[in-house]
Amino acid sequence: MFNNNYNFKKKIFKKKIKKEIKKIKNIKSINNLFKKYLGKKGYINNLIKLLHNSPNEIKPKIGKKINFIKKYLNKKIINKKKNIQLNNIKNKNYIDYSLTGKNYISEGNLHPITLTLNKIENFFNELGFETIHGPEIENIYYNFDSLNINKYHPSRTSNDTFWINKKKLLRTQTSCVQTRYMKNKKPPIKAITSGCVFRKDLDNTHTPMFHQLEGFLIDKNINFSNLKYIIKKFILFFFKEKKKIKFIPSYFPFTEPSAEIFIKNFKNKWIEILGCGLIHKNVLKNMNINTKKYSGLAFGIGIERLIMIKYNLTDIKILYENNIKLLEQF
Amino acid sequence: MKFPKEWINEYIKNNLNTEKIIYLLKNKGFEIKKLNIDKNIKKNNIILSKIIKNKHSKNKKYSLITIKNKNKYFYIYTKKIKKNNSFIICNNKILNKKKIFKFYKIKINKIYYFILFEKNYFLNKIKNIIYNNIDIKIPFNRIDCNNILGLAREISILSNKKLNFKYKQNIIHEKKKNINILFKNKQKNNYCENIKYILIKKINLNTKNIPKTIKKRLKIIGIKKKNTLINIINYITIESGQIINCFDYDKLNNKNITIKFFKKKNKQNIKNINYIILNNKNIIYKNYNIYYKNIFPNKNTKNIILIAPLLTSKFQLKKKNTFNKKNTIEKFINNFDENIQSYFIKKISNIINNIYGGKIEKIGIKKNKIKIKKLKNIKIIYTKINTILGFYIKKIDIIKILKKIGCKILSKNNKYIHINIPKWRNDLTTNENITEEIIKIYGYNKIPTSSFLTKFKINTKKNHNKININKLKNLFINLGYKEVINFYFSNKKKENIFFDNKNKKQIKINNPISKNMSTLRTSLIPGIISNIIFNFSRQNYNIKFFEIGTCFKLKKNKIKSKKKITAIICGNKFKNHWSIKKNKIFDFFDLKGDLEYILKKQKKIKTLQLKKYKNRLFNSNLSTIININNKKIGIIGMLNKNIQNHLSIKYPIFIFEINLKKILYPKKTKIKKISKFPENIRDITLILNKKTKINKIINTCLSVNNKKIKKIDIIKIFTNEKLKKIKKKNITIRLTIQDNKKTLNEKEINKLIYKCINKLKYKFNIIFNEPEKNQQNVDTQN
Repeated sequence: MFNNNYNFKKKIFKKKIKKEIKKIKNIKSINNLFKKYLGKKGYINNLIKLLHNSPNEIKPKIGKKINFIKKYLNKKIINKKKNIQLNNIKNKNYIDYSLTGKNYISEGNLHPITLTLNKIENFFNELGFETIHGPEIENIYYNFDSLNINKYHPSRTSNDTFWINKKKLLRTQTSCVQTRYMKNKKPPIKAITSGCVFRKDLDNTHTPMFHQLEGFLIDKNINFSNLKYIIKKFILFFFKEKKKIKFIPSYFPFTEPSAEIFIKNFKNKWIEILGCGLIHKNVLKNMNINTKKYSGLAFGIGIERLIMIKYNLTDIKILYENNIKLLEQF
Repeated sequence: MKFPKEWINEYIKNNLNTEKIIYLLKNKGFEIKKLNIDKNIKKNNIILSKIIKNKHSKNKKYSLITIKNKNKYFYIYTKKIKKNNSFIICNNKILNKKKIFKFYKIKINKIYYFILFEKNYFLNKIKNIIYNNIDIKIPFNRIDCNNILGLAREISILSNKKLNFKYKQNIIHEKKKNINILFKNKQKNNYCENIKYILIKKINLNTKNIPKTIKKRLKIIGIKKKNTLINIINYITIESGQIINCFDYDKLNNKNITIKFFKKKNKQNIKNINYIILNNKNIIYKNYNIYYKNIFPNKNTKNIILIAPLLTSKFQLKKKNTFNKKNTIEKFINNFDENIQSYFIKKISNIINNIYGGKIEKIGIKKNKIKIKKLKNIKIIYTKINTILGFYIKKIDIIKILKKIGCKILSKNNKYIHINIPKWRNDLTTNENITEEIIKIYGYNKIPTSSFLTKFKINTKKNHNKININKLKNLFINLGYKEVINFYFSNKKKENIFFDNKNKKQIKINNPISKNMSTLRTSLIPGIISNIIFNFSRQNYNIKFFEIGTCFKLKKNKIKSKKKITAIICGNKFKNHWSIKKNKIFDFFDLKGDLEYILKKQKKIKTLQLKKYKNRLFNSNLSTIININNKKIGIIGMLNKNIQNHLSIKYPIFIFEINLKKILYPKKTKIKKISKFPENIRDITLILNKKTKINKIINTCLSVNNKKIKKIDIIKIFTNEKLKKIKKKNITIRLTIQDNKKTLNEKEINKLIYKCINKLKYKFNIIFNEPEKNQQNVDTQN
C-alpha cells in the first residue's frame, strides 16, 4: 500500500499495481480494487484532497502525476475486467442455442373476415370512399321497396329471407344502407358499407349469415366503363396479380345494366365474386336525387367468397368454426 | 327449368349442341345448374369409374384398361384411348367379356367420358341420361323465356340462327254460334282480348296411346299426370305458353260460357289475379285447374270443345308471383301473341285428332269489345345509350340488334329511333332497359375501361366508432386474444342453460332454417363457449377468445340491438415450454388484469369498481358488475360450476361482457408534466381485518395528499395460521412520493407518511409495523 503522500515514483507505482492485478481472478475482487483506488473514498480522491492543502507552486506538477495514475489505473482495470468476462463466458457450461425462446404466451390473431374487410376498406378509403353503417334488422321499405324489388320477387318469400314480423326482417343485402344514408345527403358522394347479411341457404359455399361490402358512387356522368375501371383496379389490388376477369350480363332489380364478375380460381374454373351495375332510376328517385343530372354506380362484394378464392378453401363453414389452428395461420 | 335439348332444336333451323346451348345461355345471364353425371348414372345401375391403368398394345391400336367397381378391379380391352385422366362409363354385362369394345367420347366440363357399348341402344340410353337435358334458372325479368318457344327464340337470337316458327299464320277464323261467350269484367280488370275455340266432334276417348316423345318430355319437366288428355294439354302449354281449356261440349248448359277475372290476396298478403270460367253461374274452371270435374271429358264424351283465351300483356306483368312455384303449369303461361295462339290451337286439335279420331271444325273467334291499351312506342336516343355505357356504338349496330330482338322500327332519324316492342317483351320499357339489352348482345367484354374524375368533398368527420373498434381489437391481440365470429342465431334451449327468464326477451325468427337457429342471440357468451368446447375436443387447451358483435332484445315490444364485447379465458395459462416446470391455469385476476389494461387504454380506469351481484351465469363467489363512475358497463366473473359440469369442461372459465357503446368515445390525450425531482419510496406493512377491501385503504392514503403521493402499489399479501385465527391478514404497501417543485426532505416525507398512518388507524383499526427506508431509496438520495 501507498501512504497518502504524493512523493512516489511512477515506475514503482506501475510495478506494484501490475502485481496486484495479476493476483485477481474474479470480478468481485476487481471491483474491490476499483473502490480502493478510484472509489469515492479511494486513494486518488484522498490525493486530491491533499492537493487542496499543498502550496500553489507544486500543484501543477502533482496534478499531472495524479492524472497520469488515474488514467493508468482506469486502463488496466477495464482491460482486466474485459479479460475476466471473456474467460468467464468461455469457461461457462455449454449452451444449446437451438432451444426455443421464452415466448410462452400465445399470440393473438384477428379473424380472417375482419382482416380482409379492413384491407378492402382501406383500399376504397384511399380512393376517397367514406365508410358508413346501418342496422342489421331492417324495414321492408329499405330492404325491398326502396331498392325497386318487385312485390312478387322470389327473394321476398319465406324461402329466401328471415322474417321477424310482417314489417321487419334480417337484411338480405347491404344495399339498404345506400337509401338510408342518401335520404339526407346530396350528391356527389362516394361511400362504402360493410356488415353481416342473412339469407336462407346452407351448403358448402353458402351460410345463413355472411359478410358483404357494398360501395356506391353518385355523380354527374357516371357510366359503365367507369364501373369496369374501378372493379379491375380492385381485383388487381386484392389478388396482387393479373387475373382473368369475365363480365357477364345479369339481373339485379336495383341496377341497370347490371353485371356479374367472374374470376378463374385455382382449379381453373370460373367463379362469381361480385355483382355490380349502374344504379336503377327508381332507386335514385327513392333517394331524392335528380336523375336527369346524376347517375350512379354500385357494387357488392361477398367477403367469404373472396377468402375462399384467395386461400383455396373448399368449405365455407371452416370460417365459422373458430378452430384455433386455423385462426393462428392468419 | 329442366328441358330436353331436342325440344328446343325443333324450333331452331340448324341443330345446336348441348355444350353450345349451355355456353350461349351461361354467358348471357342465365344461371345453369350443374350437369350432375354421378347422380344421374347411379340411379340407373351403370358403372362410372376413373381409368386406373391404361396399357397400350404393341401395335398401338388397342389398350388394356383397368377400372374399379365396388372395390374389385376389372380389365377391359378397347380401341386405343389416349387420355389417362378420364372416366369410363359401361354396363355390368361388359365386365366379364373378353372382347374389344368400341367407345364413344363425350366431353363435359373439360373432362372426357368414354362410353363402352356393345349395342347401340345402350349408347343412346346413356346419351339420353346424361347429355340431353339442360337445367337452367331463368332471371326474374325474363319470364318470356319460361316456355319452350320463348327459350328457343332467345337462343336463336344469341346464336345468330333462324327461328323455325312463322309468326304470320294463314289461319281463317270464323264467327260461329256454337257457343255464347261473355266477358264479365269492365275495363279496369279486363285482361282478355279475344277467345278462340274449336269443336271436335265424334271423338273416341277410350284409347290411351300417347306418343312416346310427349311422355318422355313431360317426365323430364316433371309435370306428368294420369289423365292423357290433360297431359296433352299440358304439353302444348309448356311448349307455347298458352292457356288452353277443354270441356265436354254436351254437358255445357245452354252452351254458355262467361269469363271473369278478380283479384284476391293470398297468404303472403300479395294480390293475385284469379282467372275463372263460369257456366250458368257455376264455376267450372279456376286458376288453371278444372273446378267442376263432371264437365271435363271422360270415356263417354263424344264432342269436346277447346277454348284458348288471348290474354293481355298487363296480365303477364301482374302474374309474376308464379315465377318461383315448382311443378305448376301456371308458370309456363305467357307469350300472349295472336299468331302463336291460333297456331297452337290448331296443333293441339291435330294431335287430339291423331290419337282419338273425330272431326275437326273450323276455329271460331269471339272478340272482346272493350278496347285494350296497346304498348307504347319507345323513342330511343343514341346519345343516351352512349352516355350510359361510356363509349360509342355505331348506329347500324344498334339497329341490327334491335331488329334481332324483334322490335319493329317505325321511324328513324340522325338522333333517335322510334320502335315498337314485341308483345312478349314486357321488361323493355325505358331507354335504360334497351341499352342493357343492346350491350348484352353486343358483349360486355368489348366495353373499354375509363378512369373518372369526380369532384367530391373529403369528410373531415372521421368515423370514430370504426377506428376505435379497430384499436380495441388490436389491444386484445396484444394481450394474446384470438378473434372469433359466430352466427347471430341461437335457440331457446341454448340460452336457457345460461340465463334466467330470458324467453320473453328473445326475438324469434318466423321462418328459421332449423330449430337450432330459431332466435336471435341476446348475448355473445353461449356462442363463444361453444367455440371453447369445439377447441377442447381438438386438444387445444390454451384459450383466449374475444368477440365484438351485436345482440338483440325485445324491450316493451320494440326490437333493440346492442353491440357488445365479450372476452373469455380458459385452460392453461402458457404454452408448453421447457422453462416452465408446472403450467398454471388461468384465474380471475388474469382476466381482470386484461380488463384493466383495456379500460386504461380507453382512459377510463380511474374509477373502476366491481360490485357483487347474484346471477345464474356466474359462480356466487365470483360474480360482479363492472361499474365506472357508478354506471354499469358490463359484468365479469367465473362461469357457474353447474353449467361448467353440464357442458363437461375441465377447466374453470372466466368471462367478461361489456356494452361497447359505453367505453367507446373519442378523447384527445392530455400530457401530464413529468417532475425532474427524485422519487422517494417508502414501504408500510399493516395488519388488517380479513374483510376490509384494499381498494379503500389505497383511496384513504391518496386522499391525504393527492399531488405528492404519486402511486401506491401492493407488494405483498401474507396470511399465517396465527393471523387466520384472529381473522386478519398482513399487507405491505409501497408509496412513491414526489414533488413537482423541489426535492423533498426526510422530515417532509415522514410527515406525510405519519399522516397516512394516523388516518388509517382512525378509520380501520390497523396494527402497524414501522415504515422502513427502502434500499433503493438510499442510493437515490445520495
